[in-house]
Formats: sequence, structure tokens, C-alpha cells
Amino acid sequence: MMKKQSSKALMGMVVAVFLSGCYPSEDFFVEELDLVVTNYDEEENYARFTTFAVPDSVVRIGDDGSEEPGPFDDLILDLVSDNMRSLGYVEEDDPENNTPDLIVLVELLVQDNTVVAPCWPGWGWWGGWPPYWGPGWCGGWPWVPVGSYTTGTLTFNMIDVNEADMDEETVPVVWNSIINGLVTGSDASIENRIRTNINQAFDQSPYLGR
Amino acid sequence: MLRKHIIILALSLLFSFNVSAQEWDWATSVHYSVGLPIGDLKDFTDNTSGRGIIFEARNFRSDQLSIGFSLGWQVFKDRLEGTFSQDGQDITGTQVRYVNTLPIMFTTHYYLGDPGSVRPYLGAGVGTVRSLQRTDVGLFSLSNNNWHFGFYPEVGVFIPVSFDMGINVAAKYNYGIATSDSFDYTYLALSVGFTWLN
Repeated sequence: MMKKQSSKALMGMVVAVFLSGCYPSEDFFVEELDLVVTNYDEEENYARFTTFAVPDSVVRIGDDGSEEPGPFDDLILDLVSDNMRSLGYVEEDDPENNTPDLIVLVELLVQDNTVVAPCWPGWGWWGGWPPYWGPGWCGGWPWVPVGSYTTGTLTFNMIDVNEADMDEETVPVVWNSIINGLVTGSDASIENRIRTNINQAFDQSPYLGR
Repeated sequence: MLRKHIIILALSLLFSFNVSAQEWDWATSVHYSVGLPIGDLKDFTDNTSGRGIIFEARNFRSDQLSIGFSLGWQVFKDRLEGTFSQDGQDITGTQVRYVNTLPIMFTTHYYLGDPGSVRPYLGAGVGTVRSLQRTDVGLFSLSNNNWHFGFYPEVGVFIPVSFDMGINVAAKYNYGIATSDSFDYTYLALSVGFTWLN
């Protein structure tokens, strides 16, 4: 009887191993869980663009759909503009009247669940300023994390305004960055991580620039 | 000098322990194994694995030949930092890569020497390898689990230490052939274990 029970226990253990395996845990500092993903079009010539604009606000999606500016919005927007200027692009000061070649849209997602999508999100388009946010475009690119978390996800999408399809109300996204990490720690720590990761997104994209 | 002679004498007595009077049908073993990744597996996880175990049962068909089966489990893990690129995508973050390999093999072994003595042996296994591969990057995980056709050649030595028990030292060159979804899972398993005869 004892032998039978032992055999069953052994079999149970073997089945458990085959189903789940063993994944020894690893310790991380918060910043080591930060992730910077960039997607680009390998056929695109990014030097053909001259001007750009960045909307003056960070759009919040998900549960935190607040329209109130967050404490780091200005920092985020400034870092994006600074990096674009460093790449040689010229910032368009009056995008309502002078359509820039590129618009970099910034959104922040704060939610509790995790979703991994097989493509990255696009935007519906209405052709005015600021751009309209909506569902739609999907370029069939590799998977990227776009879902919702108990963490923060910053997404930048660089859109080619001149290639906007007004009938279909879609625009091509020629570059995309997703920065994901835990929202925890002091403001100074979060600010430092935001700065590091946004700069990293541009640093790992050497094909950008004029 | 005297001490050296005593040690040699003790070892000689130990290894000459004669169990040949008994006809053994089965040898059952439990091994601790160390895995050294090779090839594609080394590219994926470049660390020697100290997490391994092997269960074996061998049925003696003659003094020189046994058949049986083997169930192994080796866990590899590696941590990498930096930027990883693929087809229009760059990812910067800390990656932790895990591989569980579980070779399940029918085996055969050929033994040199006489029963009851120290017995070097050659062996081979053929069967399947279950692989469980996972990459944690940032707060995300990607898994890729597969079944592979697998085999291994093996060399080892059985050292009797008592009437019905011995120590088994072996080296297996595990080979799990690539599938359409995964690379080859190849590693050298160096193992030491206890063997019970009955």
C-alpha cells in the first residue's frame, strides 16, 4: 500500500515537472524591471523628414483616464522634444497652421491587467490638431506589450503625417517606443528612470535623424 | 607512507567487494547531475547548470548487457542585460532565461569487467526530450515548450560499495534535435549517483 502511494506521489511529481518546470527566482532592483522597446520600419528613410511636433499633453488611457496633467508630463514631453531636436529634426511651433512631417504622440497607460498584443496600436485620424485618438491601425509587427498593468506604460508613436489616409482615417506609424516599468519609489527615482528610459529609446534607434 | 598504503589497501578492499555470487536482475539509480550547455543551448543560457537529477532503471539481460529507461531533468538559467534586436525591433532590459530539459530515454548498456567488480560501461539512450523554455524580460514572460526527438551516448563506471549498492559515475551527451519552433537542446550531463541492485 505504502509502495503504491509512493509511486503515485512520484508520478504526480513527474507530471507536475513536465507541465510547469522549475524556474528559480531572481532578485531585481526596480529599475532592472524597466523595459524599453522600439519598433521601426526597416525600409523607411528617416532622414527624409524635416519637421516634427509633439502635442502639449500626455494622453492617459485605461482606468486612469484622467485629463489632469500628471507630475511628470512636462518632463516626458520635454525629453521627447529634446531628443527629436538632437536628431536634427526641426520643431514646428505652429502645427495647427503648418503641418509638420512627423508628430510624436505620447500616451500613458496605468492599469491592473497584463495584455500582450501581436501588433502595436494605431490611431484613428481626423486630420486636425491635436490628432484624434482611436482604434485601428495594425502593421503586423512583432508582439509588443501594450496591455494594462499595475505598472506604468509610456508609449510614443511617431506618425508620418503626409501619408495619412483621410478616407480610411488611418496614419502610418513609422516609429514606436514602449517603456514599461513599475510605478514605485520616490519622485526623484521615478524621474530619473523616466529620463534614462526615454533617452534609451532614442539611443537604441540610430536610424532616426537627419 | 604508511598512511598511503593503508588508503590503497582500503580502496582495494572496497572495490574488490565481491557480489558476483548474486545474480542481479535490476539496477535502480538516482543521480545528481551537472549540465554543461553546448551549441545553441549555450548561446541561449551560457551557464553551467547545477540543478539536475536523473532516475534510471536497468534490467540485466546478461552479465554484460542491460536495457532500461532513464528520466532526467536539468534546469539551466542565465541572466543577461542590454539591448536585444530582431527584425525591426529592439528591446532593452534585463532578461532571465530558463530552460528545463527532461530527457526520457530507453537505454542499453554494455559493461566491462566482472559482476561485483568496478565496471566501466558504455551506453546509449534514445527517446524524447521535453523542453520548457521561458524568457522573462522586464515584467513579461515568453514561453516556448516543445517535444524533441533525442538520444545520448554515455560512458560511466559502476563502483560497488556494498552487497547490493554502488556508486555510479557517468557522462551523457544529451542531444534533443531542433524542432520547427526551437533550436537543438544539447548538453553534457556529468552525474554521480547511488545505485541499488535487486
